[in-house]
Amino acid sequence: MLATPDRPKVKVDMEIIHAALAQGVPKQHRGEVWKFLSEQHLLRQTVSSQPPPDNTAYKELLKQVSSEQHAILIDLGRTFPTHPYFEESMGPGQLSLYNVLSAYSVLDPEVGYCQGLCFVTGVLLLHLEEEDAFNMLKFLMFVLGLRQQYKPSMTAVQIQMYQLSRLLHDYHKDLQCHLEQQDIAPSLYAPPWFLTNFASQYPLGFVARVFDMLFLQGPEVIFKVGLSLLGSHKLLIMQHDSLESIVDVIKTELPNLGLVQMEKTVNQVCEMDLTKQLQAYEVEYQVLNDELHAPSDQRSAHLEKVYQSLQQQNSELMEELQVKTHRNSGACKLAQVTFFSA
Amino acid sequence: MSETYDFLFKFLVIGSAGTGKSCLLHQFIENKFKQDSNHTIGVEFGSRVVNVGGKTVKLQIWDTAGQERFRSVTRSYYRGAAGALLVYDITSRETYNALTNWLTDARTLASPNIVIILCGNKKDLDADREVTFLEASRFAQENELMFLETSALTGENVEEGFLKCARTILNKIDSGELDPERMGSGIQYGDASLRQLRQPRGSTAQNKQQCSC
Repeated sequence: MLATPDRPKVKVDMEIIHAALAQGVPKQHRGEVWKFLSEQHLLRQTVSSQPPPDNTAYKELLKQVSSEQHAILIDLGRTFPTHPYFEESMGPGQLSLYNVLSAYSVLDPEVGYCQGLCFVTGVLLLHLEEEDAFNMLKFLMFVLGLRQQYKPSMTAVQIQMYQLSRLLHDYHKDLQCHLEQQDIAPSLYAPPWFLTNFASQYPLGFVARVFDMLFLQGPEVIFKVGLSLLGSHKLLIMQHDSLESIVDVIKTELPNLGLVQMEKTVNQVCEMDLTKQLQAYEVEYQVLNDELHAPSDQRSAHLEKVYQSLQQQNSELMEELQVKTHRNSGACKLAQVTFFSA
Repeated sequence: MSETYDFLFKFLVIGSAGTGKSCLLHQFIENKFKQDSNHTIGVEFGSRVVNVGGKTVKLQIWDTAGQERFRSVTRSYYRGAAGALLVYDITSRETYNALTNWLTDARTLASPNIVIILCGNKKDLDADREVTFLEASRFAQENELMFLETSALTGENVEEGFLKCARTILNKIDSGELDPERMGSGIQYGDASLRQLRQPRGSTAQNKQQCSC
């Protein structure tokens, strides 16, 4: 596949790509595979995503002084500090890291430099030449849309945290309840998952697989991996009942992945589809947020409307449930109804 | 939990990026310098039980990312903090200049009564100093902060910083200036405390145990 003549213009069957990727990617070809996946993504794109502001060549961008220079420098020694390629102060690894981040911050002044980007760029640099790594960063940020989460307001991160807690409620309700009892919200453990694509805490072999899936499926992958990991460790987490020990399990036990767990996670991620839920929960977040900031009388009128529509939905669901209970498939819907009436 | 304590205090560690917040926390909890640390993304936290003025106090310490834009993510963890270490780097004037903003944030988001100790960290790098002791101690005085210069590398004054803050809070409880029963005080009674003698705050405690989902 990688050696196809005129590769960037030839669409390859998605089934074939999925099958190939499920078998794993040889390390020496990984960078090339990521480039290939990005080309395939661009070939399939129906609506064009936000294009980069300009197409200034990498070498030109490097010549400009970044206003984020200082912020980037501070983080260089604090990114993969024990990895042989990055450990030497201003050695080749750190220098490339600096170059790519500096060039990116010039290209995209709205985002500039945000903590977390160092890790994402670091992973790219482990598999790609500097300029290719820059191009892939550009792809992740602009085409796959990761740049939203790094903007100064970080609103996208707030939305992600809300979406994750709603998904947890859908897939692992008991776990979600257990965490809520201890006041453990996703914002306590999940920001590094999203802002570094798991690179800051997880073994690099696993992170590479996460990046493979990210290039193939887009940013939804981070939700899927997170849900899968939390789900697989549900019993372990629920054995603990203090804030400290639970957070400790999530931060130190979850990343401690064996090969089997890793494969299991990758397989689960390939099977999940969260598109609809993620869209619904994003809208839900916006609505809740608008209500919170609306003037109070308007708010109560609005809440009244919401309440009525929920009641309506509730009774509709009740009817549906009754019909379905008759058909013997009631049990799992019950949870949904109690939720709406709560 | 097997440990017993009289009080639990919620602490924050705040300040600009690269000032050594996580290293201070690590030094305080583990008694050693954290060599190869990642930069903090979001919030981290740690806890330690200490003995202050005859009382056992559990310090639950929340360490936050220093880059300004992360405040939107970390600010919810400010709520109800009883104490804070406000950290700058003595070799970086920029981190010192940012102190006013951090201070406003702490007082508005946590509590106006929050007890804050200013820590001029990286004391071991005296040759590269950009902020004098005198200048910072004036700033501390004007803003009613306690002040220490610390070194997360050598451990100098790190323990003192946390303990000083805890001691001040205890004194304020004793003098009645701080009311642990008030919502959002950042103070909780521990298992070993006088809680049993007081009116149980039953209803709120019970509610928390119920699942809200």
